[in-house]
Amino acid sequence: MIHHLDSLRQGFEVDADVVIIGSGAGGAVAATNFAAAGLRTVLLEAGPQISAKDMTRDGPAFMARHYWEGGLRLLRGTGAWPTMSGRILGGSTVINSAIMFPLPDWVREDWAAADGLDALRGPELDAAYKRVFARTHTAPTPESVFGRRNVLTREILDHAGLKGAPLPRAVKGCEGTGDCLTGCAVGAKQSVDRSYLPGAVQDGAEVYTCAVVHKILMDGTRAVGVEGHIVDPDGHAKLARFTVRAPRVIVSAGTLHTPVILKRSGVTAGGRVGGTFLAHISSFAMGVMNHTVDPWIGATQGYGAFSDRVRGLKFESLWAPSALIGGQWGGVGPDMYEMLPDFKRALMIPIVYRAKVTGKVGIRLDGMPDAQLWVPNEEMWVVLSELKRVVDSMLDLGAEYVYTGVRGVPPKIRTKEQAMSLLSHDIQARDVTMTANHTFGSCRMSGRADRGVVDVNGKVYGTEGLWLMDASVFPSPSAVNPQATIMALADMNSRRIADLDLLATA
Amino acid sequence: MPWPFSIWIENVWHTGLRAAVEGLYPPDPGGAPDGVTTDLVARHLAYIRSLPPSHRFLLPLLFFGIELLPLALAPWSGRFSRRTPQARAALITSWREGRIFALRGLGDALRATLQMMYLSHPSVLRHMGEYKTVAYLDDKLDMPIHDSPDMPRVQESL
Ligand SMILES: Cc1cc2nc3c(=O)[nH]c(=O)nc-3n(C[C@H](O)[C@H](O)[C@H](O)COP(=O)(O)OP(=O)(O)OC[C@H]3O[C@@H](n4cnc5c(N)ncnc54)[C@H](O)[C@@H]3O)c2cc1C
Ligand code: SF4
Repeated sequence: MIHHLDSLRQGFEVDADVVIIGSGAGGAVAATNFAAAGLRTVLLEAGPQISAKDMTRDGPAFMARHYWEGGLRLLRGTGAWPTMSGRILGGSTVINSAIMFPLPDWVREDWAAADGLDALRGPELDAAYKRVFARTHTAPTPESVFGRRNVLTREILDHAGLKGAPLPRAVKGCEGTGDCLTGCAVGAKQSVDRSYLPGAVQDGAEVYTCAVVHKILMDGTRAVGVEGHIVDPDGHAKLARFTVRAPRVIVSAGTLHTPVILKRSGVTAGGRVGGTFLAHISSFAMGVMNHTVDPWIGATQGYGAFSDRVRGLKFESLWAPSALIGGQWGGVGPDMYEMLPDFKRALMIPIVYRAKVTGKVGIRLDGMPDAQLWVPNEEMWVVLSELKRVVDSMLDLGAEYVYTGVRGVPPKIRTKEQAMSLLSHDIQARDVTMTANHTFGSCRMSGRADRGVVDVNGKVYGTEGLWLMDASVFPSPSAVNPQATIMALADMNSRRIADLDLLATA
Repeated sequence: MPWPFSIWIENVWHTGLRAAVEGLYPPDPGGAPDGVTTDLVARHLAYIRSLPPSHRFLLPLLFFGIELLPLALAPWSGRFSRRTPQARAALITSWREGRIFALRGLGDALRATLQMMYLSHPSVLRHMGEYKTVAYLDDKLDMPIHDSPDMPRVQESL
């Protein structure tokens, strides 16, 4: 059963066999397996459940209600860069683009070798990926929902010598509305609230929404439950307390919130909880073509390519609500008005790169995560040199100008000579407009207790009854969109705990 | 906080917000919707009220800073709102294009938050030519819906 705010205003106290904090990519998959195994399963989610009728294309309004910190969360460190995540039943899978990739072999091998995680080489993880892809209907984006933007992205990447392909996505009946970042009112996106949670509920899982966990209850080194508050998703007022007692506690609150909950509970793993933090860095080229593109039509992210020169670097098509795309692009006053008709002719190609970055996650005074990320200039130069390929290609194919949001290069790059400025080593990492929505590694998995927070099964070292199942456990960035790997790891590790067949077919 | 002080603070940041909207979204002879037709001040106030507590505090702080910072940086030129709308736009542009990281951040943040609200007004969407092929039945945002040459039109969402 799914419990909503109205029935929770007085708080609650329950016992269970397993309690899971967070209903996103990791938590929902784990809850589904526990419930299927017949365990009394409680799933706690800070945000509300939303349905098609709650969805709006008004980006700021949607984000204010359904993203953590209203979508305005910034990473400190080298720059002040936005990082977003969903505060909603289904977590960030409800507001993401549904792209699904397994971990590339070289990253998987890196995890296994560098961190002593040999078990990741086995067939169990392959079987988990297969189950996840089948359940989420993952398939390459059909051309019928490309729209002009994805078609043009393909032409631009082809022309740049980048061999791409339609992106594999977890969707069923996508209508190419380009609205993925504000949910999918069409009901096509197979976010975990659609692909997993109904099964969990059918198998008896109790799902509590608007339930914000404050800390894990520890009896010595043993986790015995959690406590927190029911919080109104609109006013954010704390309404009542709740307690769940369970001998198994799974934390799946995401890379930024999981370390906060652990630290508050006195679980620090010798300072390693939140002592590391990693993210893919990303930049973009926005081309304004000499013809209509109507970028708002077509699958949000339908086409992409891997770099043939830089390992771990990926190009993707993207559109988001214009209100979000247009935040930095252009000037003010009359300059801005002049630019409005350009939207119709625009398309955006972001680059996502597995850079060597460092970071950490602490706790702010208001209890929210305080994440810091440092990006070396050299790594940003790698991104910019690859970005130049896209910019050149856009210009060759008729772009009137290209905007990159990089300080120190012309705001409207009109010629290849001007594009050369992207290669300048005067550009500092903090000069680049960047977002970091793929975040990992705040509670790293390692084969060695002195190097990580959790072991290969997600169990927190030095504790009993406590596991982590979300992106926080990645030992290093995944190099591809992470959700499939988060789901597969959660699937494998929750099956192990629940004694389910690890090699079961989909 | 003693109440006259909190009223003063509210006055300052509301003035900063109004002044920024006048400066950055003046009437446009070319016909683009401006700050008045998009009801930018009232919508922004409502938006701030809808945010989580930390940002209900931070965004007013931004407008408070915008209003008073010019006074601190160049006392002879007065508060932000005392300048002409054109001078306000020029000041924000110079901050955004300048070398001082903190001022750049301030200018960018101001521009981004106002622009987000501006670009989510239906009259602006119409002016830009934005539309969708699938209607959201319960959406308060009045998004234009019509056929696309590239995509079959679907009437409505589930
Ligand atoms: C805009 C955007 C687009 C993206 N696109 C893609 C994509 O196309 N493909 C891809 O692979 N990845 C994508 N990602 C990344 C992907 O969505 C995340 O990596 C993934 O969802 C993370 O899974 P998770 O389980 O770690 O956390 P989440 O999915 O974020 O789930 C964590 C859940 O825990 C809840 N929670 C947090 N704290 C508490 C608490 N104290 N009490 C109770 N509940 C709590 C949160 O509300 C949330 O529901 C995108 C991300 C964003 C922001
Ligand atoms: S593009 Fe539109 S229809 Fe397709 S999954 Fe995204 S939101 Fe749903």
